[in-house]
Amino acid sequence: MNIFKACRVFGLAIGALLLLLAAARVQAQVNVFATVPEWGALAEELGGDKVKVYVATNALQDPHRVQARPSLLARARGAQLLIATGAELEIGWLPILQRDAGNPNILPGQPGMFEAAQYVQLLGVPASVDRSMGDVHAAGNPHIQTDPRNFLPIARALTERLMLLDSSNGTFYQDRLRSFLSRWQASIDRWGAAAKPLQGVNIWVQHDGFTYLNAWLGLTQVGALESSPGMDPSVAHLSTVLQRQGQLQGRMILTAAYMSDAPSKWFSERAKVPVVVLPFTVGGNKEAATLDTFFENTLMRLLQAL
Amino acid sequence: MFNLHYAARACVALVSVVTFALTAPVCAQVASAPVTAADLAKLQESIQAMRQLYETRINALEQKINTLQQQNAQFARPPAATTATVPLAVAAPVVAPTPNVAASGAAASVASASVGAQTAAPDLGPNPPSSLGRGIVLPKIGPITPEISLILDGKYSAQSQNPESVGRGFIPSGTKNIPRGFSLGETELALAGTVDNLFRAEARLVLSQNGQDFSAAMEEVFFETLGMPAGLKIKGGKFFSNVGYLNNKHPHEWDFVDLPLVYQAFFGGQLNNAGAQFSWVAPIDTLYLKLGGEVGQGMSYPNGNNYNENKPRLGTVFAKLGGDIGIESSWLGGLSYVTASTGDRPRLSALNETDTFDFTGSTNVLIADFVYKWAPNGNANRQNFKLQGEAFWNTQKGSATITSPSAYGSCATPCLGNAYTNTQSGFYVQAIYQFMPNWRLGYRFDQLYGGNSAYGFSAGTLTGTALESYNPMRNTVMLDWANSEYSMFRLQLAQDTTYGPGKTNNQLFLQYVMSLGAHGAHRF
Repeated sequence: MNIFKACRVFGLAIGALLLLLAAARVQAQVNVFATVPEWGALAEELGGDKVKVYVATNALQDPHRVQARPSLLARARGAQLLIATGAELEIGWLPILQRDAGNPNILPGQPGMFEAAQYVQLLGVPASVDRSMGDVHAAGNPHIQTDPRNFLPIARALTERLMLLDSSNGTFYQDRLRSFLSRWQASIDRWGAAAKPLQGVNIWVQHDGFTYLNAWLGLTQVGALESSPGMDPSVAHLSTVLQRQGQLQGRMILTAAYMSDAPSKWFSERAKVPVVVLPFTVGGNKEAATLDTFFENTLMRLLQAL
Repeated sequence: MFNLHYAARACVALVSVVTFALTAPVCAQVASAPVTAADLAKLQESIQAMRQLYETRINALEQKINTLQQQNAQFARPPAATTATVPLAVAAPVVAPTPNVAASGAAASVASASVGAQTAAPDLGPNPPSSLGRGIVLPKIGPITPEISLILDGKYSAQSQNPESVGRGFIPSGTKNIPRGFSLGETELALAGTVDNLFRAEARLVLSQNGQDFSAAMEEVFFETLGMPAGLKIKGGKFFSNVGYLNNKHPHEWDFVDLPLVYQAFFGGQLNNAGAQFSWVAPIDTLYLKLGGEVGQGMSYPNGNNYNENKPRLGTVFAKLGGDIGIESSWLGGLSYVTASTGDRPRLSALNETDTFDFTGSTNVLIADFVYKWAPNGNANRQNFKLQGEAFWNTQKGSATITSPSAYGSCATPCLGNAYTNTQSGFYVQAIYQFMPNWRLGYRFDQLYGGNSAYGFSAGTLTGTALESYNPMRNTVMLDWANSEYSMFRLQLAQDTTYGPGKTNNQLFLQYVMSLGAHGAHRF
């Protein structure tokens, strides 16, 4: 086989496909690639039928450890807007998509690359970072989706980004934003009132992923079951945690749908406190199918465990 | 790329800018485009609304910054990490307050400028990077630029045969077998990062044990484009070729201590050359299709030593296709073709302890590869399964010279220019199962077919040399335990027949891999 001949055929094929591509770009919808379900849901909320959303992960997957699968590369290739959490959450796989998908729109610093964590105040910023502490995030805790108040600035910034990318529908996005903000603020007030009994309640967490939820509801986290973030605790470690329960009196254990239930169950049986499996994001259980029901279900489960 | 859609957007934007200037006569001229007064009013209204939105937000932000600054002043400042990140959080919600955002979609330059301000904002620490002064925002892929990582790899091995023996059935490819006893594998120092807004570069310096000595080598040193449009990418430098599945995986990413036999026999390890690569990802949403090709100088097996020659002598083309099956499974398949020639610099190799076999000619390799991965709910943390296989078809055409102290059959010594033509093949299949967190079990089956390597001699003439007609195979099992993504220990047992009939090599390996530094994002 003559390799140069093969190259020529290859070149022609690319030329033809480029023409197809140019034709395909005359399309109405903004192609959105969301790394996690919460931003996919928010993009749909704000973009309505003007956006076409693809969500890369589901609520049962650990967003830290997703593989840069071929299907994700294919989706990232055509994305006009990539919405990520940022704060190093997707550091194990997003860089590969940015590098290998062949899509300059989603490179850092481009209008098509949106990092939600840039628009909220991050909590849990470590004073120093060392791998012996496990999978810690130097920029702060990235699980910002557990506090509904964070969605307000993110929704505003996301709308601005959508308007920048799709300026012909500017007023549409503004109207959607306005109605989202007022509805969301009302929901936050309502949830806040309903969650009064949770104020100051002592809780254990399996993974330190509820910093923002705690800040929102005033829960007092007495400790984590994981010896270091991202690593399953050993029985020996759990035993020492259990000894501290006598003094700390945690009233429930919070864990997320995607995590292993073994450590929480072990602790729950011995400490005689309930395990609360929170959806953690949209789609984390059957009821939590939308942004609203995600928070409603989270609250309901917490209140039931009291 | 300029099409109707853009033209329409440009027009709307132009109109809005004009409205801003409130120059009615000009507006009348532009109004030959189908824009009604109602549209204009709507636009004015939206711009007004945006301005109000920004003003209230800027006020709110100023207030927030004030309170935060007061709070910060109260804290005794802790060391480096916090001081660097606190301003980040403060500056974060700042969004480009340009009044003409609606217009900015019109021209790409305006868009990137305003977004430049936007994404640059979080970086405004105490000392803004000098790049901001030039108005260029450096894309950061990964946390630090350059990312630095150091990977340590060490082994203990016990083997029933001498791994320095010559294999049977194939032209010796120069592949390095793992020595018996304690030894170091590759110690890899990698530096990688974005160069500027268009390029990314990577350098991997490898220190490896070479006999009793240690030698340093540049395993990969390349740049690649980031910002090419339409899915195109160019890579230049020295790099692992993208053919096959395992060819561009670094040793610490392998599932076994060593490479499959097909790689050892046909590439002498992994295909790695100085050259250039061109690739393209197809714009298909639901299926991953990547096509590409490479040109390489050809300075190692299956080439000769093509150093200091105008003509590069290695060429490859490859196609990859991949996707998902439901949420639990994903797959990737590929077809690759490699063509290499020695030019007039023969490939020098040893036939046995005393004789040499120098091949001049061309080698063509066709590779078919696939990998399938499964995890319950697509969550690979606790359990996952990987099935992978590759098949190689290797054709060699040319001639060879045997130099030996005694003559081979009727051939004088040196035995000049007999034709050497052979078609060989081989494959491996492996399965890796993570049955509980941190623990993986794997099995691999290797098979090679040596074809007819007789070099025109009567059967049996080459018995006892590397070209003895032979079909080696190997069975391998492994168990590994990873404490985290950064540390791993592995036990591997294998039965390998590459050294010829009656010389089965029973192998035991113990290996560790330790990774320091940057969080390596791995390919599928």
